[in-house]
Amino acid sequence: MTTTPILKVKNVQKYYGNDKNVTKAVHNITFDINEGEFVGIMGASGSGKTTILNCIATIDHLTSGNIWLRERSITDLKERELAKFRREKLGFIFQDFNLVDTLTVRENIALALTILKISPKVIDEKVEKVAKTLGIEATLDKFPNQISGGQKQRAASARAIVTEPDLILADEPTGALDSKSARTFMETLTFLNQDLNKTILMVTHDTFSASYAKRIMFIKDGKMFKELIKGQSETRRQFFDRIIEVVTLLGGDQHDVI
Amino acid sequence: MMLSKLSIRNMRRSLRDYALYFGTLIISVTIFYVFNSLANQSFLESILFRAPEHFTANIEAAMTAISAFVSVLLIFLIIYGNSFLIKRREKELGVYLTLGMDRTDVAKILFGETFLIAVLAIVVGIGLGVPLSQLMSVMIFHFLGVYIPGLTFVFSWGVVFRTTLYFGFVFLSVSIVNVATVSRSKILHLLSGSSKQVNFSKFFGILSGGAFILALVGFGYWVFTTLTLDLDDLFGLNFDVSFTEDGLPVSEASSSLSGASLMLAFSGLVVGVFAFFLSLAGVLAFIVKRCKKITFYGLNVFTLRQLTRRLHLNWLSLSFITLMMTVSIFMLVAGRGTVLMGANAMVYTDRPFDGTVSVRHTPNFDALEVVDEVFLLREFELSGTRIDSIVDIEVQGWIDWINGFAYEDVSAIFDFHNTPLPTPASNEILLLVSGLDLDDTYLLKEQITVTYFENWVSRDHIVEETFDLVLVVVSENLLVTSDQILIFDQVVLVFPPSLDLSDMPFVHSSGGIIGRERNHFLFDFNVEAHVAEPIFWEFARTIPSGGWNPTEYDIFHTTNNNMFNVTTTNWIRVNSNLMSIFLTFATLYIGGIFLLVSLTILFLQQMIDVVESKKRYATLLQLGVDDQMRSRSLLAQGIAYFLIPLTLASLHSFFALQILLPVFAGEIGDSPAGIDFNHIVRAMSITFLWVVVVYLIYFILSYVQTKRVLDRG
Ligand SMILES: Nc1ncnc2c1ncn2[C@@H]1O[C@H](COP(=O)(O)OP(=O)(O)OP(=O)(O)O)[C@@H](O)[C@H]1O
Ligand SMILES: [Mg+2]
Repeated sequence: MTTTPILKVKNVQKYYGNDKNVTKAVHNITFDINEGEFVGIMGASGSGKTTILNCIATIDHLTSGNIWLRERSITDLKERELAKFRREKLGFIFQDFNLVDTLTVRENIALALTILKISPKVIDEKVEKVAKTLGIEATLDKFPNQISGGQKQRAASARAIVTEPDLILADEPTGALDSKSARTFMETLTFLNQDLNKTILMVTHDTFSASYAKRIMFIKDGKMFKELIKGQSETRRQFFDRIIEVVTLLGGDQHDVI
Repeated sequence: MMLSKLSIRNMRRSLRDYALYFGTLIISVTIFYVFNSLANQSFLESILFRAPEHFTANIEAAMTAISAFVSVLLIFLIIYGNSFLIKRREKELGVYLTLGMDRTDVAKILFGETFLIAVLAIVVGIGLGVPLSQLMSVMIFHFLGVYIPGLTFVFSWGVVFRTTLYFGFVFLSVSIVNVATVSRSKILHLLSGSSKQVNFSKFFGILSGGAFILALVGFGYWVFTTLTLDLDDLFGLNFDVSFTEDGLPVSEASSSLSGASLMLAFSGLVVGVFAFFLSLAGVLAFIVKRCKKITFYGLNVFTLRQLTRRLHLNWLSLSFITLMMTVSIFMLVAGRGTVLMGANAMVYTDRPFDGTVSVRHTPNFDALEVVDEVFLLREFELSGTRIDSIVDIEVQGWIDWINGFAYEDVSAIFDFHNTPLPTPASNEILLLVSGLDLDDTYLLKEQITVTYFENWVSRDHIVEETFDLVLVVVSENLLVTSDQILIFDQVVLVFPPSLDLSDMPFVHSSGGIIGRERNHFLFDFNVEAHVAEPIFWEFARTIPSGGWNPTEYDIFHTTNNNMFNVTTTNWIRVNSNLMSIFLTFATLYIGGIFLLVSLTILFLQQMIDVVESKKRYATLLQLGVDDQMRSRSLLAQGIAYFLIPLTLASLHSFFALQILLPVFAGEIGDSPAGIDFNHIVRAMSITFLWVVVVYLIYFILSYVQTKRVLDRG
């Protein structure tokens, strides 16, 4: 389809710590993601996946390198523009959910919309709809500490996709879901990707979830290790098998520590 | 080594974040120092020396009680504030413990910190207190317009020692509480920190609704009572007057019904405040749920939920804060009104002279010489009259002793002021009253019987003579103009010229017997108070052959029954303002401390909320909320959180003031004429504005501090 990348990541490095004690979380990574792509990122625990996502989401600052979103370098953006970008263009499903514990699930989901200053009525409708899609209607009026981990994850996902953002970043979105919920959720992501043409970048340890993506990038020690592209005629099952191969090659197994 | 380093690092961080709290600690030490140096030094002594005895005892007891009360309050504040400081670092302390650090080591850290804070607060507090106490006498002179001799605050090691000892004790007890907290709490508890969740169950909803209705009922009753109270009844001023057989009036307060209903209204207020804050979180939660139009916009929903949580967690302390602030605002505002009323009551300020010296002397005593020596040599400007031979007569059997004078003496004073005085007929006695006393019941009497010896030497023939009373209303200024005797007795008898008293020898009058006074010499002078007072002060102490009689109003006795009596306008003002001056200090002390303590607790709660909500705010940023929106939310929470207690307290103190307003307006009680109600109301409003300004300062500082902590996170 289109060839202009929505996201360009070039020579990105991210170090944590001070002079004495440096952790190289991301060690020179370069990749492009085109508009409408569904890309998975896999890698062992601590390999720097979350760090990359945070850098793209402008939550974290780069040590060096550059990231362009729609040909605009995000390293040049001001704090306020970054915030605007995050709330308008980006949906982020955090690894540890990051639900606001003083708000109900409904309010958590709505929050993503209210900060866009959309009319309250529309917000209500959208929240109901996304909750139905993810099967959490019953938990809408509960507080995060009153619902299960899987429900929290879906609530967090609902919050990320309710704004129908251009770019969805998902960090282990199915990590806390049972296989049935995971399937439903991945089908939702696929729907967003195929029917609404949303670009998705998803980190996962779960080979099954990864098989929904069109392309998988494998990361090891903060560096790109390998890339798999789903063939035009390849079934999900076949793609799944190819992913398993690489995962075994990487040395971990598919039930890596989350 | 390593421990003290940790302590110092921690403390520096705490000092920065909780500057407002430490500031209040320092101010508390300062206030404590100033008021203790007040109580300790010659100020009280100098006031009490001339004050009525019962007043002396009361004022001393009140001072002690107030100081004790304030002390207890401060202990609570510091324990409360400190528990916040510990709580903030529960995780850190828990980590120390899991790292294998001994409990006693952790306790040592806490102790070291508290010690450093104590030293800092005490040193800085006293450092500020010393110059401030020097300013006090200047301020009193400025605000009350009175000069109090002896009111100089000198540096006193005793007060420094007492302040140090006291706050040392406070901090020590806080330390003990700390150590007890650390050694009792489990590691797990310390690690988990605190993140209480509001549970909005159905029961909670019903409870909130019920409490809200209860609050409305309580407030309603309180407001209704303050607006409809029978004030005459309340102040016990409705007397049923009857007379006993001797003609003594018997007064009885009619009923205490209003007092009882006022007590009930106070309970309504207190219960209402508690119920209100108990219900507030539930009511807010209800609104959040129902009014999506408002809540689903920007960060409103977050702001409201944060606020709800905070109100829920702190409802009890908020209730106390609101009550404390109600008392504080009421005290400061009403105190200001009372002071003004006292000052306004000072028609004496219209006295044409700054002072009067009267000398009553035996015939062979040369009063003039002494007066010249003591006063005139000091370049006092003499003006006014010199009157000899005023005769005092005291008639017992009425409400009080009333002074009687010979006609010629009183008319001399009246002539001096160009005011005519009617001459009484031989069977008449003039009853001079100021306009304000017209209501008094003894005016109902039409006749008076005076008893005296016809012959003083033999004292054999007692004459009983009945006179008709002729009421003469005079201006108050006139009555108090020249001689102090006239100041306190606003009712004065003037005997007819035909009743010749001049031949009577001197006796001290008693028991309804007319006596001839000593030779009486009066003169007035004009000199400024700060010049005159120290001279009189010295005169009183150094007069060689006598001293002062502290139980009576500024009467200086000399030997040989010669009596010096010095009255200055300033001192009359001080004396009449005694209650006001005391009230000013007391209200400033209590009201001020209450206000500061309340505001500091609000700040601490605001701060702990931000610290506990850091993760929530971080999430907001990740969702694309910019720091401007976030700051606005923080500001909105702060405003609401500070405004709710202020609004409630202001309203309640306003209604409490309704009870006093008629007194200020001069509708109740013995208030003197010429009192400008509007002026009092204006001054009280300005005092209230000052409270709001202090409030604003604390609010802004606490916003700045919490925002900084948030930005750093
Ligand atoms: N804030 C931080 N400070 C210091 N080091 C960090 C920080 N965040 C991450 N790291 C380190 O950077 C490396 C990469 O972390 P990252 O969270 O990106 O891993 P990950 O691939 O997401 O792992 P997982 O699959 O377990 O989520 C790790 O070694 C981690 O310890
Ligand atoms: Mg991760």
